[in-house]
Amino acid sequence: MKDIHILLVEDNEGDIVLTKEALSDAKIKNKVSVAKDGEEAIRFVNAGLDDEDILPDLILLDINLPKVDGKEVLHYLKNNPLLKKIPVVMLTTSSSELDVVDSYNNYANCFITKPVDFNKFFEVVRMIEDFWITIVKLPTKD
Amino acid sequence: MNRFSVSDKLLKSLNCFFILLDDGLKVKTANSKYSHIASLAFQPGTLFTNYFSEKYQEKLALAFASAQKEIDCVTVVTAPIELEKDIITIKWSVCCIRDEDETLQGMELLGIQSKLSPKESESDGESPKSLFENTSQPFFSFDLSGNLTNANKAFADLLSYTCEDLAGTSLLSYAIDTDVPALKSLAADALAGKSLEYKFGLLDKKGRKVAVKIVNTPRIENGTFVGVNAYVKKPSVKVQTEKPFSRDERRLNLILGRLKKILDSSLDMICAIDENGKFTYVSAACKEILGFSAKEFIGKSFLDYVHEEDAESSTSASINIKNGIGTTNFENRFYRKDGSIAHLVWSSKWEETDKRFYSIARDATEKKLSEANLIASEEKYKILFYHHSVPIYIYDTESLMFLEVNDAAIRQYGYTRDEFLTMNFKDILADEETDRDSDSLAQEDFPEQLPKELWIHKKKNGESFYAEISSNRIEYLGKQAKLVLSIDRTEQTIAEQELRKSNERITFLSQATFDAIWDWDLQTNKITWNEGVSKMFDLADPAEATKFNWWSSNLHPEDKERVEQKISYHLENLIPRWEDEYRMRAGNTYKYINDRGYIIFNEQNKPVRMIGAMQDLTERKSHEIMLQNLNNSLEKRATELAESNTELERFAYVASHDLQEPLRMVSSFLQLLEKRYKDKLDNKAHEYINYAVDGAERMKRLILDLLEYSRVNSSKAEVEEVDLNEVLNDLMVTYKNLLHETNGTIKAQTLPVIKGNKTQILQLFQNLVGNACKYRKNETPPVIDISYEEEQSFYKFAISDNGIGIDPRFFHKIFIIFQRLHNRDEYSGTGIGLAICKKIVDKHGGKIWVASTMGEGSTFYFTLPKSK
Repeated sequence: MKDIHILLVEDNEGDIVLTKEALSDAKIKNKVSVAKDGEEAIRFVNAGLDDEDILPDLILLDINLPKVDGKEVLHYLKNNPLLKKIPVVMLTTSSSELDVVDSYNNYANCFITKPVDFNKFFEVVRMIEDFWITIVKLPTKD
Repeated sequence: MNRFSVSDKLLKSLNCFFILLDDGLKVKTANSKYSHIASLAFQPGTLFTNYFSEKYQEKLALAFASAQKEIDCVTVVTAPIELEKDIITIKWSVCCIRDEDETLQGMELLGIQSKLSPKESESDGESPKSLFENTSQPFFSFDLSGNLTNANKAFADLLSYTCEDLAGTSLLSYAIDTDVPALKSLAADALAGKSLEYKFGLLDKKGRKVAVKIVNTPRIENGTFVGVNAYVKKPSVKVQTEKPFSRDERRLNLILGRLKKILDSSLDMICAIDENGKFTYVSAACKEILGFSAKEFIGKSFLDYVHEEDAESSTSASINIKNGIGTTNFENRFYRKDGSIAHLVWSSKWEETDKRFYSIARDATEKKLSEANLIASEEKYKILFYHHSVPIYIYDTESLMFLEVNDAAIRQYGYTRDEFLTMNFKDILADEETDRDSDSLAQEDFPEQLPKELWIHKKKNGESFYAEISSNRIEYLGKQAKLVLSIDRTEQTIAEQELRKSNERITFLSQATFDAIWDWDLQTNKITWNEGVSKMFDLADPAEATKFNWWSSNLHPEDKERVEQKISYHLENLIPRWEDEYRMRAGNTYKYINDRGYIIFNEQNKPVRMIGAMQDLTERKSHEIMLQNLNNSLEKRATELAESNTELERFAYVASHDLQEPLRMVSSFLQLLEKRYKDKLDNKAHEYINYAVDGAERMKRLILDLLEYSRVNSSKAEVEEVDLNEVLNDLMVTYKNLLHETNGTIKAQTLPVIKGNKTQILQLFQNLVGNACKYRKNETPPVIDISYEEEQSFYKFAISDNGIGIDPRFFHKIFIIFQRLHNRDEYSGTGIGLAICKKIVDKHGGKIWVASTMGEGSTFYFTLPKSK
């Protein structure tokens, strides 16, 4: 099976490390690319339109981002016909109801509040992996 | 002297001496007075003075000389004549007789006996002489010629003469001209048996008028009527203001020596008529009265002149007179020469020896005419009285009965004339007037014109009205009466009363008010103030405020132009109501004044007067300013406070939010460290990591609670209907595990539906029930009871437990944020839970408090309003 390519859009170094650590325990081999703000994320996926090897299979998107925030990135992705099929899991420390509603209205595939507890965080990441990588049949890139 | 021949008979009847002397003072003629006494015959051709003693001859010579000096002058001298038995004193009036060239022709002498002889006095036994002389009652008698034959001292005193002065003089010489005819008729009346009272005026020695009332009685001597006795009933002395006639002048007219003159100068026609009714003598007055000369009458019958209608009565009167019935005041009409009619009044007497009527006729034509005029003028007054537009009535001042009313009174009072004449004055008084001093109605001694009075009168229909009464005392139908004009003044009086009341009200009001009330006369520019102005502006002298200038010059310079313009605008455009606010100088400061005025216009729509009131707003203004300042600063503080609150809440929210991230990192990496390097770390390292993770955990809890606390305020809590039974169900789910573990129970009655924010109400119940579970006693299963009571405007909830209880010392502390009562080892907690509860209850408009007994349990009470 081919390696899964995951784009993690996150500005917090700690979370990047933790997420990577959690994914490293995953059953399926994966490749994690990191974009540290919204602009970088959009540049990354646009580049992937030309080279489909770069185009991620799953995007983990934090809401609070410098410059262009997570909601704007989501809006951009879901309004692009070529990009809107990529599943986007919103990850945030916020549990604001408004954020949740806004995200789903913009076609987010899933909204997950980052658990503060370390063990729970690991569990969440593993569940994401299980669900989106193992269980769900994603459309092929072609 | 033939000029006297006609009147010989008259001369003979005179009871005095009348003697004519030639220029050599020898007797030419003498009448027969006392001729029965032989020695008293003044023989013609003898020297007059020879009849007197030496002493009186000289005196008489002086009198003659004195009489010759002046023309038409009478000199009086007293010279007694010696009779056989006694001496009689004669008073002589001497007058010269001159011809046309003023050459002396002789003397005329009139001698009057001035004292009765003692013999005569004694023979008069009717009144003892001493009594007569000494009585204080003035008494006198006179003979048929009108000469005083007797006069007592009281009478002489009355006229300021001595008895001697009066003796023999004619009573007529003391009479006032107008009373002469009355006096003349005295004797005739007395003779006719009439004893009457007469009123007439006499002149005393100084020419003063003495009004006397006399009673006369006929004086009979030896069965013959010889004169009149009279006494003065009521003498009174009045000072005559006119210049009196001189005595000499008066006497001149009465000197019998000038008899013809007297007869001719008499206004009355004196005549002698023979038994056939033919005139034998007529005095000169006939010319004046009838237009005929005396000659034209002589030999003619009086019937030739008498009006046909009076002929019969005149003839029968003459027969009566001839038969001895004296007649006075017989009236008939004579034809004048010009054919007109003269009214004559006759006094006549028949003299049997002479066979003559001696008569006096007085012209009564004018009197008759004036009587007619009087009747006509009375008629006019009657018309004036009856038809006058003012109600007039006359009433008797004694009985108060109405004697007469006019038409206007009948209309005004509503009674008919006949009704009026049966009523008295009190019948027209209103009930409230019946006790009014009615003395004034009948008083005797008040002036004729009475002051006007206001009475309330009553009409026949019971209606009352204000009558202005003007009264005059009059004599009416022989009764003392009052003539009253009664003018209806009801409207005027009521208007006056209302004006007075309204004036009183204004006066009281202006005294009661603190305002300064002013009355500005626009024509004189003067202002009248009440007392308020002195207090308001602290004036030493209120008079200084009376000038308009005082007001305008004390206006604040910044307000002056505006205020004066506004007043002018109102005056020019006839806008009566004016109001303004301005500042006005009061000592060293200015006062804020609210001024309201009303302009009064005259009939030409010209403003003449302005009345208003000033109110001192200074105190109110300063309060207003203070209040405004206070409000401003309060508003500012409220804004500041709101800002600070908002900032604080945002801070709390952001802080707790942002604090979570680093905390998560700390906690996460410590655990990652433990996970990845489990085998490489010793036990101690593991223990330290645990402490760090626990600290981070507690900090996380604190931050979350703080976040919750700040959210109670910041969240725009929606108010909805909250069914507390649903809240209770949620609670049961939340605490299901805990209750199971502790074997605890929650008992609750059915709860009401309230209005509030559901999330917060749930949190309130959660926190309180949570506390009740948490602070349970070891070994004792928690029992929690939830109940409520319904009050008028709120519900009171109680959540009680059987836990450890709270020391009352800390009741007031437990609702303060971060306040903890227990060691963290015993009971975990952040000390924010009850602070959140208090904040939620506060926000819902309720109260929260606690009651507790240590070791037995606590009850938390809170109230929530029924509606908000």
